[in-house]
Amino acid sequence: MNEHGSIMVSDFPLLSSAILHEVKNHLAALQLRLAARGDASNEQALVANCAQRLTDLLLAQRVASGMLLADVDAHSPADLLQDLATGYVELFPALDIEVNLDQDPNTAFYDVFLLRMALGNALHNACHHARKQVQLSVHSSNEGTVFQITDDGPGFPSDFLAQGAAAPSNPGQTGTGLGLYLAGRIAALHRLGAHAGRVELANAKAGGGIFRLIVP
Amino acid sequence: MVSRLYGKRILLIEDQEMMRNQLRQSMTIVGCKHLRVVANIQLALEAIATETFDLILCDYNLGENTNGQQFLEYIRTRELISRNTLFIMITAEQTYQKVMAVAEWTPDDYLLKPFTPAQLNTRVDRLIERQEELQRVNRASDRKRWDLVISECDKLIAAHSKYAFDAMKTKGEALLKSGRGAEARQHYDAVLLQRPLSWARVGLARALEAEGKIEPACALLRDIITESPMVMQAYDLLARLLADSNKHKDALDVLDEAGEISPGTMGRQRTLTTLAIGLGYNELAEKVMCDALNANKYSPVRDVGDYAMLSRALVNQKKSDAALDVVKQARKGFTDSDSNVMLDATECVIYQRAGDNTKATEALARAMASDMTGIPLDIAMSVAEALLAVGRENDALSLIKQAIQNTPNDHNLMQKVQAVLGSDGKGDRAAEIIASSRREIIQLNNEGVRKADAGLFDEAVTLLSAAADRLPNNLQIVGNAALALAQFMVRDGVDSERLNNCLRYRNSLAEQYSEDPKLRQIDSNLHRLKR
Repeated sequence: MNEHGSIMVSDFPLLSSAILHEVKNHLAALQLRLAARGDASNEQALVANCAQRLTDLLLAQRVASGMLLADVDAHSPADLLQDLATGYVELFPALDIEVNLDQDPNTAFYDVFLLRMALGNALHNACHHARKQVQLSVHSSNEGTVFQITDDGPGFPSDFLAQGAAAPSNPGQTGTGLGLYLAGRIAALHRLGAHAGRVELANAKAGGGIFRLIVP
Repeated sequence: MVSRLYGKRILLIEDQEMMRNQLRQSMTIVGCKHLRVVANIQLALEAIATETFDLILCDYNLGENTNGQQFLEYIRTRELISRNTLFIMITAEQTYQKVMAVAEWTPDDYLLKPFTPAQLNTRVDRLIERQEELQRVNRASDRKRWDLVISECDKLIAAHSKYAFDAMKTKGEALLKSGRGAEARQHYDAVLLQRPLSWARVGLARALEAEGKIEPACALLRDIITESPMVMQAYDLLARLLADSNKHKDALDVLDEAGEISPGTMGRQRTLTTLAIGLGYNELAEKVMCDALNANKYSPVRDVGDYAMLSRALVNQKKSDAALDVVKQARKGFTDSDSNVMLDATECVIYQRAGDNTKATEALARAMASDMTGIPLDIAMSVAEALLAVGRENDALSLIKQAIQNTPNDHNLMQKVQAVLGSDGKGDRAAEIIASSRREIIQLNNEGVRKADAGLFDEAVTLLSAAADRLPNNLQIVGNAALALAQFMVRDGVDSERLNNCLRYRNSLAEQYSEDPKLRQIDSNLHRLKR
């Protein structure tokens, strides 16, 4: 605040964090209340999406201020995918969300909180566009560990494929663009020697989008 | 939906009533029977004092300037909960505790709001699975049986368990705790070949320290800080190594740098304040401790010593009224006898420096009215400081010596003694006083043991018993006194006074460290008495 008691631009980080905290608390109570009803999965999905958007906003702020860093440790990628799937099975009961663990490595190295956010965004996106099916899988490649989310929806629009996970061309654009950009930034925070993680988008020949996040 | 949560004893700490009720309902749906729900840290502490829990779910933001991180720091440093108790932090926002995630005290998991009951369930399931897999390791750690910890970890590593890296982390700590520096270094080197993980790099620095390679340890820590500025343990360790090498200013700078990244734990603020006072940076000390106490206003992590330290920083700036206010404030929150001794001693120093000799003498008399044997190091140091202030240097030095000999392995001994002597302009004598006090008690102990080995039990018992009564927290002395008495009676027969003393020392040892290997030796001698 300035001496006249007005709100200053510099107050915004604190103010937005306080409001975000409060809103998320309400969303959390709402989420549990909806879950207790058992017939409100659409509403639950909506709540989850609102929360995700708020998280994206904060992440974007941290990226902009250069304060986002990865705390890499050893984790089980299978656990991560199963945890993610559990949440979304509940929110999208009409979809078949499958976790394919045929080739999962025992251990991979990443910041589990950041990856949960990045993959959660991508999974939400896939569930939103899928017709019937979403598949999550993980395997090792010579580049590192590859997390993959596929859906049977219309696939990514061509400008997305061209742009990849670059900065969103229009900062005001909705969900997918900012989410993908943040996923790309999160992947890139994972480094091993000269190698950095990255995000890859593709469309399957039979249709549907393929999201890959690779960490070294 | 019945899960692994079924039958688990769960403590839920959440300040908001709406969330509390919803969570209670959700937990009941997934099958929780033993659920205790509390609204704040005080009630949570009361709960863990009377009950054992398998899982603690704690909201990060607990209102009124307290948070879940303070609570976690407090209960983990004081070992109020078992390593087998799971701790999940519930947060509304993931980013601000990213800093906390690399702090020393980390929860087993974070749960981001909002979440569905199924998500909570899966996450807890996962943690319980991990806990079951690591149960033997954790149980051995609780009992401080480091050899057992290491062999259990080796089994998990050899079996390529999903938790192999957890086992590697714990194994490294166990090697360090059992003083096996060279093995710890090899272990961390092997982990680092697989991946340059921050905990393994910090572990390697600790291993180098254990081997006495202080310079390389400091160099490594500086590299870690440059490359991963959020690894807070690196700052803490580097600052300690620098302070131990008498580079107090460098240590202070490192902690200052850490403060730019994260406000940090109360432990770090204390070290920083102690260093600043020792160096005469009283304004800095005042600021750091004031901020820390404000940030932790309603939290149990505060300590009466924090107020004494703040008062010392104020006195050194000749602000006696402010210092007296600080003592008055502290008296409201801390009313036990040890705290009273410390606050009386602090008052004595304030009055003396303000030139009021009468009040100073009165305060010192109040502080010294109770028995000084075995009082905690911090309390002893504050009384020593008061004695120095009124010019009773010999009494002060003998109290300092006794405190050092009572707890010769206290990690911050050097800094504490330095701070007391520094205020009186004798900071440069701290190292010498500590070394000679330690040497003296080691010699006394060795002489006692030698006499007992030579069968001179009478002399050994006289020597060791007198020392054990004077130094009730020096476990080596207390243990050897009990052992000498037991051996004496095995040879010459039971004597009721000796038996009473022997049992008194033995039980005191068992109470302070139930895994001390000497206990078995004492007990086997006592067993022979029965036959």
